[in-house]
Amino acid sequence: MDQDLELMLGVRRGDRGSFGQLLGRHRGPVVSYVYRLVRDAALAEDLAQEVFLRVYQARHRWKPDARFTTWLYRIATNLALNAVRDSRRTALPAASADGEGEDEAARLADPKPIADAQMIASERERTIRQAVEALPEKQRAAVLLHKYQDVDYHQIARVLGVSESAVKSLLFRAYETLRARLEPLMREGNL
Amino acid sequence: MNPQTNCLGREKIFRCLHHLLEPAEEAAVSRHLSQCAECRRIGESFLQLDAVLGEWKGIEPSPEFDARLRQALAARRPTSLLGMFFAMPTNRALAAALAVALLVAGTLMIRHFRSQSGPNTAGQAPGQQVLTAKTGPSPAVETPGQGNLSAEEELKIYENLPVLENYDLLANFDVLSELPQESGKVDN
Repeated sequence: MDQDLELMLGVRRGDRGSFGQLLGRHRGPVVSYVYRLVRDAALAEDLAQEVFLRVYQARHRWKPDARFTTWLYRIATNLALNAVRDSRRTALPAASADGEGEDEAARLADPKPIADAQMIASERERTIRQAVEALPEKQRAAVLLHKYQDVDYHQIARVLGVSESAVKSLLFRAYETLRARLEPLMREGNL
Repeated sequence: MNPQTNCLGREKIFRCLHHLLEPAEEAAVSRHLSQCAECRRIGESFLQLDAVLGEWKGIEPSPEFDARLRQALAARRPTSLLGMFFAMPTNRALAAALAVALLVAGTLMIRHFRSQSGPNTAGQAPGQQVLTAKTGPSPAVETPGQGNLSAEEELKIYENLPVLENYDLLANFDVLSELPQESGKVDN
């Protein structure tokens, strides 16, 4: 039996230990996934907490007709995308999750060029993040699930509520767009 | 596939590398990639993109994550017996069904009792003589504190205008109810 399935059946029976184990297995990936969607570490943690709260509260209604991770990422995706849409509606300033704004201010304050590997890596990461964020909502979610969460396309289809062939097209279009945007980084990597 | 070069399209190469093809098709595409330099170059560019995307690191949950989650769970847990009772979905459904059943039963009972109560005979002044309608030629007349009356006394009562003016009372007499209603009289 799938380990997640076994643990979730335990949670449904009221076994707190099973819930703790599920949390241990999926806490990190869920926080990372939500963070990549919302770009705010504090918000990502709050939303990830809400994901696990909903899992626990819905334990009596859960049915083992799909993989646990499908259900988990469906909740996470819905919460994260809702938060992103809400933040756009209220036009909040873009959150600085990793201090990128502070880095920018420090760089401007210090005129000396800093040829720091860490700074370059941070710059590359920012470019990658911006390229992924520029993708349409479903393409972005599909790429994040496929590339960073190792979710297979059958599950991605169920998480996003689309067909499997639609997932394949979403992924290809997303990667083609990313390839065009990140070509400079790919060329740098070849130097 | 390009018929001139026998090469695969970019999407087919992408799908093969990301295991989005059926096994048989994936095997065929893999064979082609091993033989075609141009298609292999396209495939390598997709793999390079994959590596670049991998540079974007995620974050680790904070050390307080589990403790905060436990607090949140405790805060949402029902504290009263009633709360715990209603926390279970089957009990909520049962309570809702019971409430509906009680409402329906109450409505039916109210309707039943209303239909059982007779026409309104309120309005009689205390101490007023009461005429009770009985079948038979000579209705018995009762006055408070007195037994059955003689024919003369009975006639006197009939001549008693206050009694005759109590149309509400008189309307209950079968004999009188068959009489045609005159305009101006109280119609019950």
